[in-house]
Amino acid sequence: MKNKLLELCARLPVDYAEVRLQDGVSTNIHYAGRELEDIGERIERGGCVRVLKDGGWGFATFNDVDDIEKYARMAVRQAELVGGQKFDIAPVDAHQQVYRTPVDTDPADVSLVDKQAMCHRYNQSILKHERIQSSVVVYRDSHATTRFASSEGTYIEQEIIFSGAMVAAIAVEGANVQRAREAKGDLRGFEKVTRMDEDCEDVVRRALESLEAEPVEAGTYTVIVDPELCGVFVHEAFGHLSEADFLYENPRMREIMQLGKRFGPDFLNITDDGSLEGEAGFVPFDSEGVAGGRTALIKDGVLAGRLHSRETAAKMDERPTGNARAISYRHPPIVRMTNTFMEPGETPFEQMLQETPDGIYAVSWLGGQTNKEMFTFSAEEAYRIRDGEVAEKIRDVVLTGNVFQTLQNIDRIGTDFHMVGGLGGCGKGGQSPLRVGDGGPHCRIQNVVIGGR
Amino acid sequence: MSDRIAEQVLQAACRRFDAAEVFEEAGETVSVRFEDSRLKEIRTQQRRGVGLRVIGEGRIGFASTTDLREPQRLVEQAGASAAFGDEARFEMPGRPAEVPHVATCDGAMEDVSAEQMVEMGREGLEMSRRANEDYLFACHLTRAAHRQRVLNTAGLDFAYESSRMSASVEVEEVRDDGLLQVYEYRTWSRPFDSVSDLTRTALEKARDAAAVAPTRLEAMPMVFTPKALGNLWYPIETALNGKLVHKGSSVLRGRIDEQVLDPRITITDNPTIDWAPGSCPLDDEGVVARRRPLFEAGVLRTYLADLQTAGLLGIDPTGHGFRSYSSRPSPSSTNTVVEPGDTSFDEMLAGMKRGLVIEHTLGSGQSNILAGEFSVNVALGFLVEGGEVQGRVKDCMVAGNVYEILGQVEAIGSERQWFGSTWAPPIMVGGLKLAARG
Repeated sequence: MKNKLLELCARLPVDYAEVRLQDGVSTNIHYAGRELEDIGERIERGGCVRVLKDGGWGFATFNDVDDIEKYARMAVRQAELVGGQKFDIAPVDAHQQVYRTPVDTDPADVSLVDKQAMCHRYNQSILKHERIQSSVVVYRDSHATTRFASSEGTYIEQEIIFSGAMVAAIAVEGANVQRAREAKGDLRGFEKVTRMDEDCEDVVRRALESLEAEPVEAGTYTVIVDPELCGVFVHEAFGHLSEADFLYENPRMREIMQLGKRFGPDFLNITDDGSLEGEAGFVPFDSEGVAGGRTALIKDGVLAGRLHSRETAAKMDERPTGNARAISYRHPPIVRMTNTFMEPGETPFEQMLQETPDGIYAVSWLGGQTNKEMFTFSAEEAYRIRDGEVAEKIRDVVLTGNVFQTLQNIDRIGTDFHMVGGLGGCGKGGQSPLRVGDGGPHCRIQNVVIGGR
Repeated sequence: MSDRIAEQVLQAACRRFDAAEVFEEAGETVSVRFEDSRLKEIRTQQRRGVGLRVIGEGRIGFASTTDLREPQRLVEQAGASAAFGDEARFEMPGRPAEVPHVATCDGAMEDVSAEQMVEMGREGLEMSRRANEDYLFACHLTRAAHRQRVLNTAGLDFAYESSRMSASVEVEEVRDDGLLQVYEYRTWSRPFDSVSDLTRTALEKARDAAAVAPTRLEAMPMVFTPKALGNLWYPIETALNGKLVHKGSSVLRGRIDEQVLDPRITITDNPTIDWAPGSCPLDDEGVVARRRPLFEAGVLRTYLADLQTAGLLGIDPTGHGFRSYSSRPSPSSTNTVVEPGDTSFDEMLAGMKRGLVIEHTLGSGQSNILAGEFSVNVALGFLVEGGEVQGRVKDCMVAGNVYEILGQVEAIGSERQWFGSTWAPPIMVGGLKLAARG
């Protein structure tokens, strides 16, 4: 297979060609309330060819792998049609690798019987509570082996082993429906999902507490976010802006995003690191065959770097960072984050709280989105802060801000640190979900707009 | 590649199980992508996959694959799944007495070449350049052909083809105080030959958004355009899902034939509209797809159910079991049709002393959907005073409960637009609070 793919790439009449073939199997278990909505395995086999010719990209993806020659020719024709100005992608050394993500316990070694029994246990422990109307327990694992070959002679075979689980409780009282969830998902192996009994208790407690909470009042607040939300905040409020595919052919944006420009206080540091083994956003090699690495995005409050594919790196005269990622063989790589986090600072959480006479403490991630200018992210749990103490619980807290201004409003960064993966992920350009890790310490943000009644 | 794969899988499965059903789909999509005012990429996506659902000893099992070399492995996996599966509360349907006719496939779609789509995009790009040299233009054009087939041990063997063309146009301007992004989108089962109308609309809106109108925390009437209406509709559609009704987590449980929305609101699920994106003759389980009122004059009439959900709820299947080859059927709507009212868009604006027209939002789906809550950033919204657009609002949010908002609306527009598979007029509501700094 290796020689066949390398030979095909070398033979195509283009400036650059790459092939990815993927063989995967995934396991899903899904309880919703008492019903086992889904249990079983899915097999995926497919491939893609991407070529660059005279400045134009062509891409073809297929399930009928035997027809790879036909689709390769199609990709070449499409690249010719795109055309444009010829360019070279940033150089990387040709290399040959076989890689398998190391795991504590391989989920493939655990029987479906045992996985089902575990999910059943979690589901029962949530549903046994009287005021809990319904539940969700999802377990997922996947093994995906991708063979990558390029016309430069690079050949990589990597197997990614993912596993994760999510538990959620739904509490209902009349028209008041509240939900709390907890998820774990990364490349460390199966062990973590066996230890979620406490999480089940926790989501029950949180869902029930939310029934009593009042909706937040619309307004502008000082907000302390927990490490999990800090991660989502960093991802949405800044991370996407550092993806170079938004910048490289956008002259005004390149001016705004000049390296060295101040984006936040001098104690603010934001990093993307695809080389963190085991984390949800771990990228041994990206979908262009470049090893994942560590990139300082903001250093001492100043723009220090950005995330690249080989094309954007070449066009901005910078180095590739290993951030060209595709969620599967069905898509071409685009510039994505990996594990993105705010580095810890100097204010212990207790002190941060004491120094906040009036505000909101927002905990635990529900969702987030950005359009490059504005972003929103939402807390599953939130409390008012009064006189430096966590006070009553509130709900429906969705925060918004302006990407270009919000980082300036960070005025305290905590000493703790926590990274979060999960079952979901990031969406961009029709590719979702991409596994990513987000994280950080507690941090305080001034002047956050929150929608409400 | 054998074209008899579905039969092979079914034959192997029926030797082992009481009932079995194969869902096979295959399709090809060609797409052309302009970004940053330049043609960047052309893409072909071929896909083909098979899903097998079985009922063994009364329990449901499921497996899927795109690796068609080993049909037997699929049967084994479905068996492993059925060992744990939920009790089947339905019987697979045979061939219906009559298959409704609805147009879903236009043979002319195959003739749409990548070259033609490139030309369409170039025309839009030129319009954008003429309007403003600084605008960055993006356009994504696709044409798709899709074939699906469902066959089961009850004698159903039904296949149909569908075609689809979609185009999105985005105009972006980067300014010192941020970004302006305007997008327009269309999808239809017949080919179209230009994006100039989409581009023109986007350019008009970009011009209206040139000024930024100052805002503060205030309550004001708001018009949700068809594009923004999803914010209000999505929580209700979720609550109509028969699965959530059965589990007790839908606030619409037990409320059939109750007044839920404003009596002026009538919403129908209609899969029988020729060429519409959500149309189909049968659903993906072989149940005849029919037009069904969801809300008649604000009164709840039906939930959305697939076969298993209908069985659990003790109702007749509604023809809303949809899936891909790799998923089990689950309830989903077809085309959502909102009846128009009698207020023109201009009359709506004229009637607002100070109000907001919401075009796009950011961050939907993050709030408590089950409770009917929404809370979104107004990504593109126009402040209107005395019927005149004052400019765009920025950095603000709108939140509320959709049942309260649609329980009593101010006005329903007289002109409808398709957006995705929704055909709806603009709707004006009162009493919502705009959260903004200042």
